[in-house]
Amino acid sequence: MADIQLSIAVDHVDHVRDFVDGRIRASGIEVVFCDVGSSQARFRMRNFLEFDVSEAAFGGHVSAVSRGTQKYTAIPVFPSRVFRHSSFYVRERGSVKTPADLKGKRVGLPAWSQTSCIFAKGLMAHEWGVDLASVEWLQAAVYEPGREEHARVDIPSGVRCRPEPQKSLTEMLASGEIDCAMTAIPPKNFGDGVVRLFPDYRPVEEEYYRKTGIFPIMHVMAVRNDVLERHPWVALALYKAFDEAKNRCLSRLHDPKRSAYPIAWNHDTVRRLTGLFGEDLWPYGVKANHTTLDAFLQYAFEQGVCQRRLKPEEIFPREVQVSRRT
Amino acid sequence: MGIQGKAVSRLNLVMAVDEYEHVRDLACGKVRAGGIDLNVLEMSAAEACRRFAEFDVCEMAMGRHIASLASGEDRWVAIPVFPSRLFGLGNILVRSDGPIRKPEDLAGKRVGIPGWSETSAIYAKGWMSENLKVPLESIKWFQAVGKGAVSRGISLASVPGKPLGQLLLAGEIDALVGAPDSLLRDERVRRLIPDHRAAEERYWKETGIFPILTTIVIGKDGFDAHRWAALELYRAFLKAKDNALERLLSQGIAKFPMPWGSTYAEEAEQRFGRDYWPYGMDANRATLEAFCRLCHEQGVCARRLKPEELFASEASRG
Repeated sequence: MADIQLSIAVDHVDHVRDFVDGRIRASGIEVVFCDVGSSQARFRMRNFLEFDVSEAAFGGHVSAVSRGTQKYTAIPVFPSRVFRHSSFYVRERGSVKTPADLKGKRVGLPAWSQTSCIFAKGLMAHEWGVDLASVEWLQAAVYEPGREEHARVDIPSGVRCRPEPQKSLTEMLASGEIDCAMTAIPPKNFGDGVVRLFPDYRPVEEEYYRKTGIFPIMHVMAVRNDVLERHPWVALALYKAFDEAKNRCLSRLHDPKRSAYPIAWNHDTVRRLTGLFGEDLWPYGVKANHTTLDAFLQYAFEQGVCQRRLKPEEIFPREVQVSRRT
Repeated sequence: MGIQGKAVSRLNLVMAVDEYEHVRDLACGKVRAGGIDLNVLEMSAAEACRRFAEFDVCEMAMGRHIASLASGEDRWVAIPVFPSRLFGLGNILVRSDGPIRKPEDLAGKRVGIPGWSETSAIYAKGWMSENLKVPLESIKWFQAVGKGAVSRGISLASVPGKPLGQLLLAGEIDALVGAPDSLLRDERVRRLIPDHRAAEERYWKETGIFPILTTIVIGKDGFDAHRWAALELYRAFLKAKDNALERLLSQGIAKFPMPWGSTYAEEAEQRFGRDYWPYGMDANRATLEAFCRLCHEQGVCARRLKPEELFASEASRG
């Protein structure tokens, strides 16, 4: 019998490579790996639905799910996760020295619905007590002028957010038109009069994780709905293959007998991280990520990215959440 | 115009190497070696070494490589590519209730090693003799496997078939270099240096040595027939590694499943420089010089080799 062929676009990172390079097979599936990089994959999936399976931005996806307009379905596989205290950039001699200083300031962000910004705004509102309505928000790309918000959002009443199509966040941070840029990638002038709000962010983020259990999820894997309608079984088959590829990668990271990564002392770091996160440093699945998913959906709802408050269980197919018990 | 058969062909080589983030662009075909089609078999370095005669290109333990060279064997040539490097001071175990409390206590004790000429053991012995000033002759050595040369005055017993971990637990040896995974969590043993990371950083700062465990070798027949392949392979390994160094540093998107992954890569860059995992002879001279010296002192090599002798000149002048 012939396997079905699926095109898969995802960043060629170490935790997916054993699947997309063919070492691990998803039963019943022949993979056509489209090695286009993460941002191309997300852009082309969002705009043109070119791939059967693709990496997708989490923020835009939950916006669509809450409005019933989603063209693809997420599976709980998370290629990219990054803590977000690190994504606040301020002028070295500016007026923002502490998180509480953000109150009443002008803050720039690439898109209201950008996943990293949903988490970062969640930090402001929930960790630092900064009312999002007290801030004047400007939406613009980090490097080039002219970026638009691409997901549907309903900015909550009382919150002021306007696009600034003529300028970049980098320019506005330099000129003082904004006091802080909230961005996953550093502005061009980082290191040149611009610093992180948390220069030594890692211990702060560790403490945050210890306290909240939240490890921010940026991207999910998504399967086009027409594919799932024809072949509902692929959700679980893909999930299992991605999970196995990731677990193989983790076992390389944990292996003390060789340097699987070109970073001195990496194995000691992995051992230390295991004390904080457990053996599985990068969990997939709904249950293992419930705290993070629930916080994210709460933030997305409060911020008007989602039209209604979704539950983690609603945004993934049942096939990947229920297992048979004997 | 018609098709006249193949106008261009490429050299087909089979290569055995372990899975490394810094090799994978080559393993998956994203990076290609000029003029070569590589068929890459991923396996542990230990297995690759054991089966080297089956492959054209192969990961090889540095200890075995240098011992082979020094004994005049001519089975392969190496290129200065270093997939696996580890400091290893954390892998020295002692019994929790044993007679060794601190590193200097190793003098006069019974110490197990995987093999006298095993790479990590060569570095560990070097650390003992040069940094701790514990004479190797004062120690009673036990090796799991091994043949090969040993320097004069060394007491060395081979104990094949007896796992060194069990000997340590039974009190038949007092320390073990190269701890098996299973032992690392056993309460009856402990690391000789609990804060080994700090000790390793100090060792690196003082000596400039970042131990190289494995290199890449090309079988002699293949090399003689296609000497140009050495430099092409070297360049391809270099490119795959440079891609990895850049990838791991990239911010905004996680490139490997470690929280704060890019932050750790940045720290490595701050400590070791832009090329934080250098290949090539010049950038690794301190380590290679030390390795040649230690191998000679320990009798692994009957004569003292120079770093230049370790690698094909075709690949080290590139």
